[in-house]
Amino acid sequence: MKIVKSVIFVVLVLLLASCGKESPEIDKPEYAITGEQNDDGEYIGSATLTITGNLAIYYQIDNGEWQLYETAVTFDEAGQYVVKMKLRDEDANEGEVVNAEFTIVAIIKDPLELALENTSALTNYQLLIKVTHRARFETLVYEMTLSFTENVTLFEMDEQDIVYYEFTDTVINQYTKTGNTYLKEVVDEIDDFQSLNTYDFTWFTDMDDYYLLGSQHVSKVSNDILTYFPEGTISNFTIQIEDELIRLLSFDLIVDEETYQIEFTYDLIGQVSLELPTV
Amino acid sequence: MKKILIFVFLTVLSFGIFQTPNAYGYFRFNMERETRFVEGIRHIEAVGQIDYDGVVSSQVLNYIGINVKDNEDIHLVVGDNYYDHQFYEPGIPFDGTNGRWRMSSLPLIIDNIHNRYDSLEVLAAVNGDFYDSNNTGRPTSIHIRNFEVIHRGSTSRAAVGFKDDGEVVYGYPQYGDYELMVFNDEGQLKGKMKVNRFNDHPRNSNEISVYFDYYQNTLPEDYTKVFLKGIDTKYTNSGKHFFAKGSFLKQTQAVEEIGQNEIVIVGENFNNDQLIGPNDYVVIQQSLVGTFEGVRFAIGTDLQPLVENGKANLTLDAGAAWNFRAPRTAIGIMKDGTVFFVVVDGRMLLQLRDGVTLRELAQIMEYFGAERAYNLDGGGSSTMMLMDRDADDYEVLNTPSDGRLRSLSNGIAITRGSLPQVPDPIPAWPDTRTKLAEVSNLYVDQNQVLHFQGISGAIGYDINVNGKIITVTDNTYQLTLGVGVHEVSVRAKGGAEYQSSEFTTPMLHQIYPHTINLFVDMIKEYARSYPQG
Repeated sequence: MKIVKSVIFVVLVLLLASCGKESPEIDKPEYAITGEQNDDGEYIGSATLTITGNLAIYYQIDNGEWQLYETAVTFDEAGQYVVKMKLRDEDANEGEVVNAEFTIVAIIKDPLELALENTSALTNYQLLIKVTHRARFETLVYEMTLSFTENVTLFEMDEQDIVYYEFTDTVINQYTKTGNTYLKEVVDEIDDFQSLNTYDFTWFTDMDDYYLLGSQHVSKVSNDILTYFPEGTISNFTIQIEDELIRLLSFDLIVDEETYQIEFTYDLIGQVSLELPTV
Repeated sequence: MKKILIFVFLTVLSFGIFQTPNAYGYFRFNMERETRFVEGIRHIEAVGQIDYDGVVSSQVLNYIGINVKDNEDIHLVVGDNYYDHQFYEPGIPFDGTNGRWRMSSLPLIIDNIHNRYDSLEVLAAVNGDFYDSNNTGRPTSIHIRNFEVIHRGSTSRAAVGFKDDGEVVYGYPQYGDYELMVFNDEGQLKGKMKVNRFNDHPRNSNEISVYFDYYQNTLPEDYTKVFLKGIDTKYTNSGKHFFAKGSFLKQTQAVEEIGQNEIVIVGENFNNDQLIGPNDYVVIQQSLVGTFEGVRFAIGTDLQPLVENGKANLTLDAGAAWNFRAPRTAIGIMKDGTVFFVVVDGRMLLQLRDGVTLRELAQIMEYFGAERAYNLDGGGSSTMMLMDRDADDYEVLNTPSDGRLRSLSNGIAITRGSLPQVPDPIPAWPDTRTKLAEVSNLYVDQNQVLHFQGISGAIGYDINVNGKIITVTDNTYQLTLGVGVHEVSVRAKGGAEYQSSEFTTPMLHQIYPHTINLFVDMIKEYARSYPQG
């Protein structure tokens, strides 16, 4: 009996041994990483990992969960990455694990570019507009304010000239102050004005405290204004930024040999609250 | 016998030469006439000859006329060169000439009319009264300007007066007592009282005395004194005749000195009810009675009328070199209300402008249909001007004999527009009328039209624009303001029934230069573009 048991044990051992010997050969996956690289081989802003192989592809990012690879994987956060990849057949046999290591560094935007982007995206803010006219014997200053919220804009100049614009899905309602009351009327939208996000930061020269628009680029930003002042010219177009936003935009407008210094100051970011007047 | 006959002949001859020409009245007007209408005024230029009692002369004359009764917006206005006695402007001291009659040519007199009366436009004008051309420039006769007798002049000369309804009166102005009239700042008569003395103390508690700044002695004690800031003062060198206009300065019991250009009213109880108070002004003048009562404008004429009852005065034998040919100016009044002026050129024989005697002038005035006509100053003073709207100027129609426009004392203008209104007097003093509510909701629209909320019961509104009052009947007014910041306030006028409201708190209205307006338009359109950044 002991002899029988021993024989069975030996057979089983042999069977098991024979099974291992019959496993198929599995390939390694291949991969490619694409993206803009710096001189150190680091990827700028983002990188895309593409993996190929003749079996199902699994990958693991920074020792995380293994995931079935289906399409190219994009990495857009700065950091060092270790990606492991392997192939697996239908019987769950896996091939050799391949490692890919790469680094993504954040894109460093020009501060002006960032400010232009951020400012053009504002929806709640106030513009303080100041026109300084240096006449021969005196300096005259005219001030007005534009306040913006999502759907209401308010124009104010002195105590008398006050106009609200209400933007609905279909019309623009204008509320004009007429004494103690307001006159409401529907007005047309005007969409001819150039947005800040069409400005290219490379047009400007960093002057430490401010950015100066190159004279060769003045025409790119002055069309809106010169529509109103066909005989006018614009110079000294500058931008000052603060906290990744435009703080002050100013230029000189010369009309009939008189110079008007125009200043737009961005203020009350996200703090404007407007209530339409009662009609 | 021969000697007797020769004596008789010479006597008759001498009568013919040296005696007053007999008034035969034969008159022939043999002149080519060219007529046109300018601004509703008939203008006739006539060139040719007249034959008066067989004496033929060459003449050029101009006629302008219009019916002042049918045309309610046409008014005869007396203009002058008389400046207020004192300006009371800081830095402009009395220089010995301001505040006196000055002489200037007719265009400046026209300018003065425009400056005085915003709502009147001079269409035509002629020279006026005779005047002292030596130094003072004072007119010879009375001069009434907007109801104010600012010059009495000679009482031996008649005057023509112009009433608001177009009536033209003629005569010798008669005067009553000196009156002190108190007006509020709207020109409403609050009350009036008799003035008993000038530069002399009251004799009893009922008397009122008025003192001028040249009074050398001390004002009386124990009397109420109301000091006025002189707007206009006038007195003759003899100290017998006075005109004064001044605004309330203060009331005091104290004995104080009279400041330059100040007028002081002194009495015992005359102002117990505050009839004269802040914002009021006072006019002191000798009241007009009779024919000239209620006359707004008046100006002196010559000694005798030219035409009466439609007939030339052929017995005229006095006046400005009456029997000599000279340039002449005359005013004629027709039965239908037409008033016309004739200026005859003269003193230019080679240019066939002989000039006329006063009798010839009378014939001419009769010829043109005058029911009444009066001679004005002539000679080098004769001037007639008519609007030339295309040239934005006035055309001199006559040919002045001096070869240039002579400086004058006053003149008469044909104007279009509305005369300053005479507000209804306050029914009684102390004032018990209900006060109107204050005007509200002032604003100026984009077309520079001022709007405000009307007040029930108001007869009109005073609009104060930078200190200048404009009276309107509607609750809108087209502003015509230049670049700058302007103060605008409004009050409702109550007339006789209500007290006027207070002026509103001034609204600051700014007119921007064109460039700034364009910029504002741009910003507003930018606001409408729904900009996001």
